[in-house]
Amino acid sequence: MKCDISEERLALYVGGELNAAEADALHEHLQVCNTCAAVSEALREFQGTVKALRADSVSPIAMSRLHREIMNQVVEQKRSPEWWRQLERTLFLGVRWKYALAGIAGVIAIGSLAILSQQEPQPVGSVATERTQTAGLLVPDEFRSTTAPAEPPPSPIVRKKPMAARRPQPATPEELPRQIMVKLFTDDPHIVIYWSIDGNGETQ
Amino acid sequence: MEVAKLWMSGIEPERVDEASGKMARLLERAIAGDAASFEAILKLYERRVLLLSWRLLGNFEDAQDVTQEVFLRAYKYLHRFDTTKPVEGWLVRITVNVCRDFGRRRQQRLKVSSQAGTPVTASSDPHTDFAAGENQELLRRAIAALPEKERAAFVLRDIEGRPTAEVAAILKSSETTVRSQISIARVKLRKAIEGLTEKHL
Repeated sequence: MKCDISEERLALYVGGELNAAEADALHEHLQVCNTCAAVSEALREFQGTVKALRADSVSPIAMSRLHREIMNQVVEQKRSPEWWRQLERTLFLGVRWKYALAGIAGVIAIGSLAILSQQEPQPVGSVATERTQTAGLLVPDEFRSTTAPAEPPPSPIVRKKPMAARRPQPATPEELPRQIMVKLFTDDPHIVIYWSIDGNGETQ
Repeated sequence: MEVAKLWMSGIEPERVDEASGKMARLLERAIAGDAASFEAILKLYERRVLLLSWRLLGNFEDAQDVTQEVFLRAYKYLHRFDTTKPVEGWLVRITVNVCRDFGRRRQQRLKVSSQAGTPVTASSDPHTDFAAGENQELLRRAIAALPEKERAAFVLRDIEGRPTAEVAAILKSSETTVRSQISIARVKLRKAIEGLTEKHL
């Protein structure tokens, strides 16, 4: 007869680890299943052999020698300083080591957040200024002297800005490219030509 | 736990308090650095630690080394121990951990894999193996060949006779897991011993 009771379950039954209902059900099964009954009996015999190991003993001579060796090493062993042991004892028994670590980690996390939040955000105007400066490089030389003061050389270090800061921002009136009105005199004093150009030198 | 055991053994409550108080005083003095107090604690538990190490490792020489290591570690970290808790549970936990580390180092050294279900080989003389008491030695070697978690659960539950809940607490595991490990270990060991017995008959 083949049944679906595993040997591990029988081992739990023999060891008394099943609850009352499970044990009763298995007990009834063992009355009718010879295979499980045989395995159960073998496990019971095995348990008897295992329990015999509980009677292990150690010779007093071996025990005494081991005792002396341990005490010799204990006496030689250097312990941490008293103040450190007291601190550790307080940490372990007072707040408990893991809670102390969790507390320290929490303080570090809160401190980091506070420092980060105190950092001032990059002013928006600087982006617009940089754009103006870049645009200024395209102004023809003949117009440069009349349009704006000499531009500083572009910085060799290019700082990467956050995505939000890289978005185009509306320029303020003073940052808009200057318009230049050009007046051209002709041979005829009655004819004067005017035209306006922007900072890029383009006619408007 | 120790107090509970004394209660169950029928010792009067005054004696229980006395024993607990005596142990607490020994611990406090040992923590303060009194070697004689530590020696008194050592005397109480050295045999139990040695036997547990022997059962976990299957080798008496190694068990002696482990016992030394356990008590040296206990002496070093005694100040971290909560004296309101039972010493034995703490020492058993240290023993299980030291045996686990020792077993791993030994495995690396010998390059021997002791996989689950590996049949245990008998020594060259079958008459020696199955002489009176020698089958216990065979069983000891079969236990040593178990995976470490199954071995620890089996030894603490079936040989030391500790309750499943206590074994689970020592091994920092659940009772369900411990029960599963114990049942698997029992089946493996029974088969290993049965196989060898049939082979030699």
